[in-house]
Amino acid sequence: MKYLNRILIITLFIIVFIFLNRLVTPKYTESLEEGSMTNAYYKETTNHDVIFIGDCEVYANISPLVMYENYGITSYVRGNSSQDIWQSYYLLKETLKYEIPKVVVLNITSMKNSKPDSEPYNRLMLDYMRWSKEKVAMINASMTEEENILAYLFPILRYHSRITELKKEDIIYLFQNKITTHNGFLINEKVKPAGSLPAKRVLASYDFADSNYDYLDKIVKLCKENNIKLILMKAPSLYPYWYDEYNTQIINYARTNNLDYYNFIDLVNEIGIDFQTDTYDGGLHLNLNGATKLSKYFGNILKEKYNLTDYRNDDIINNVYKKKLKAYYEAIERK
Amino acid sequence: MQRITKFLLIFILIIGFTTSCGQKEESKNNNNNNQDVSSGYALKYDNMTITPGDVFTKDKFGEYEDYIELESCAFEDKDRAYTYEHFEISTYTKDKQEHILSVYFLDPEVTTTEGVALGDDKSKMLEAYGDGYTNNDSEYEYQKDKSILIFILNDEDIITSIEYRYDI
Repeated sequence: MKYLNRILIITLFIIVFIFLNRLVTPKYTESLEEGSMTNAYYKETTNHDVIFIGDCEVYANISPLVMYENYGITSYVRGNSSQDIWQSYYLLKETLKYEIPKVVVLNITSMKNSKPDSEPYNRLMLDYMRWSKEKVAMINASMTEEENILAYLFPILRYHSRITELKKEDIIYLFQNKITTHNGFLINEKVKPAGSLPAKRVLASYDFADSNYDYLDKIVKLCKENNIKLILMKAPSLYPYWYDEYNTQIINYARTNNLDYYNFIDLVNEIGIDFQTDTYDGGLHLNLNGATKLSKYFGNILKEKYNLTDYRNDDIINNVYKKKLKAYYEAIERK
Repeated sequence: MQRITKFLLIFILIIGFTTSCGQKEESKNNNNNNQDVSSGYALKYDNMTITPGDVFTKDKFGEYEDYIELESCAFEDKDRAYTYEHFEISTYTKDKQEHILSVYFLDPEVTTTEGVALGDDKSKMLEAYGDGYTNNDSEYEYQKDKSILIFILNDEDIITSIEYRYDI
């Protein structure tokens, strides 16, 4: 009896503790949808031929469903806000535990960031990442000076103050998060034309950090080991500035490592992107209209050059994507 | 039974302790952010003093030529930049107020309070500020309290960038 009581108390304690941790962790549904992106991937039921990895420049600019609709390419965006190169590496490593794509496309904007950005961005990416050695390694590589891994293990340490600020979504999505993206693409149909931009600052050094090159090397190695074609891309944007010196380093790296590199900044006219109508934030990211143009353009390259399968003739995959496309257009309609 | 209760109590205490430490740290940081403003490097220009960290109000420094507002990737905070004739002021938001994050020189028509301008050479910088800098590549940083004055020099030791920045 005494033994049973002990077990009961411990079990009860664990349940309450887990419940509280889950309750106070933001659900990223009604606001800050960017926090639900890592988690959404785990709900996928079919594999993808292409995985896009990178920061907001992939989840805002690449629509996998447009690529499917036009070319039958199956793809997924594993991107998060301010995703650093070391985070891209660990996220790719995690992805390869679930599937081996034919092509990985890495957006290389984050090569210019040598230090973790900020704790709130780390949380957006990591809060709902499944526990694995990749997650632990990513936390260790990403933590700012003030952070502690315990706060990731027990979110209540970080979010305890939310207990008095809980919202309706915290209850509704207590056990099941809502998927807010479409194969990792976050729809934003707003239009904010590009105007003036801050002064283009002189930098003391334009060289990417050695540690970033180390992670890029690791990504190259990981792809080689898994027989994956790695492609580098720079999404079209007006700001933050993508200096010529940055571009030259990527061109040289791609040449040395026999990789293809697409700098879409140089191709905006060919793609048909108009920063007066195709951006939601004055030229930093594309809106739905711009992302559709880029996805059609890039999808065609992927299809032609990398010989990807057209799954529109595959009944199983096509049925899955029919539902996805229906949900996609309904979501656009609702916006 | 008593041992389990003890263990659970200790666990709760550890959690509580860690949590309250976090709160103290936060409040300490907030206090730090409030001090030292107005005591570091500041730009004196046209009878005005522009101090990194100070509250920024739109009419404080006369009419600006351009205003740029850029949203952050996910959060609601915005980067704002105000372009004046010879410099650009960037701001950050704290406690619903805009504060000066940086003052970036746009041309040689403006000098630092100690008389250094874009296009001057390294010796002029050293003459004005001495050798108490920290140096990274071609960047020279002088820090006084929470205000940092940053010079970037080219290969010929000519100043190509001057910026006052608040150390958040």
